[in-house]
Amino acid sequence: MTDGQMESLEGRRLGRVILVQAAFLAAAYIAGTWLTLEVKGAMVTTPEVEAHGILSAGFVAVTGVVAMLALLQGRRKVFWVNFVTFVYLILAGVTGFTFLGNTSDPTTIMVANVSMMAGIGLGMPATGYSLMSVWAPLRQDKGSLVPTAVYMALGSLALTVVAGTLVAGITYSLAISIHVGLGAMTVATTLGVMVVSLMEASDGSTGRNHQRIWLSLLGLGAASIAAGDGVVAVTAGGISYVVVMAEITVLVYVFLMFTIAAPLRFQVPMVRMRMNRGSK
Amino acid sequence: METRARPGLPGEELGTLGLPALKITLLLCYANFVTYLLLYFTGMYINIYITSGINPVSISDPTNIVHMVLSSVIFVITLTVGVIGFLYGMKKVALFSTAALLCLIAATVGGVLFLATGGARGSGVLTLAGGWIMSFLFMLALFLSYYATLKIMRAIRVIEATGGEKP
Repeated sequence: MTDGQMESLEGRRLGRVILVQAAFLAAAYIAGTWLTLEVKGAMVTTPEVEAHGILSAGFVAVTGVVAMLALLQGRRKVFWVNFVTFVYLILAGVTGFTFLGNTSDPTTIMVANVSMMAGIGLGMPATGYSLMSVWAPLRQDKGSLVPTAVYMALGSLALTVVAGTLVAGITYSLAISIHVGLGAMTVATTLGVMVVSLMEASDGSTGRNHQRIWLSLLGLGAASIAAGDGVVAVTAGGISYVVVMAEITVLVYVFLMFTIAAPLRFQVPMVRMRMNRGSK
Repeated sequence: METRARPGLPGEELGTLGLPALKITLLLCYANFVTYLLLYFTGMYINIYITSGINPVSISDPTNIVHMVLSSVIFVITLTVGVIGFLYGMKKVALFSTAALLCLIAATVGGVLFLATGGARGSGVLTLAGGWIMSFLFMLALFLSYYATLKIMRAIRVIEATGGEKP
């Protein structure tokens, strides 16, 4: 195996681990949002707390693994991004433990919520940057601007979710204004991803990657539904709309990550065998 | 998974990692042992000075938080070493790290049981059982991690002895 092939193999392996990391992030976020908004009187033995604990521990653990693998492969920037995220997540976990010891104090609840959401906010661009750095050189479309556009969208999304958590902690009108403004920026940057994908696919300069158009469109759709839910939550009230808004936000993240990873090949072994047989 | 054995060295599991990367992994294993040491210090502190066998320990107690953070770090390091073993063709390192991980998971369940059922040795049979499960399985995990570390040390020695940068 040549050095180039080895590097490519290592890059693909690390990319897959980053996708696992992203899956844990999304799952931990879903469980955490559900726990915060729907569960009253959380304790260490509450099933929702345990589920959130396991999923967030998985996210922290895989972040540590990605950092170490990046270090071994000589990807220093990816290592530092993930190492800083890892250390921060450990500190955010400490606020979670403190919360479990005192579940009625509003300040403790606020500190735990904001620090954990900031962990998610840090994790979103960190995973996007890591995947972009690792997989972009392996693709045919080396000059593509899509990964950079996605990275900007992930940054906006991360700031939006952190600002959303602050709604309960700082002046309501100020927090809502910041949250809505950042949400609008997320929609705009996700639209930007779709436009860039469309342009690149139509001129064919960096390969015809049509999946990116559909994936970014789905991301845009999810962002729009989340924004609509937000409007309903503010005007009509009701915590259920906030829950739906927060959970749909995860879909925006997932579609954006898939946009970086595209083109995806959904070939299960059985289908692949049948296709091979058909071609013979 | 690809495992390479050098000619003349049957059964040696050198993996596909280069020598510098193997040395970094070994450093990580050493860091794991230091973390285990700190874990035992904090565990003993809780046992002797906080609970004294009678008083319960709260999940939000600062020493308990440090104890849990240290165990999380141990989990992450063990998982990392296991993944490295799996990805870079060191089957025994992967196997022993996975066994250590399973022990750590079961030990964590024991720890949660200890905290949830009272948090003191005198709180009841379940609390005591949780405490014992936690202590015993952390020791077993330490032993398994130690064996995985030995395999990495062995690979480094063999590669150095044969003068190769990469197996």
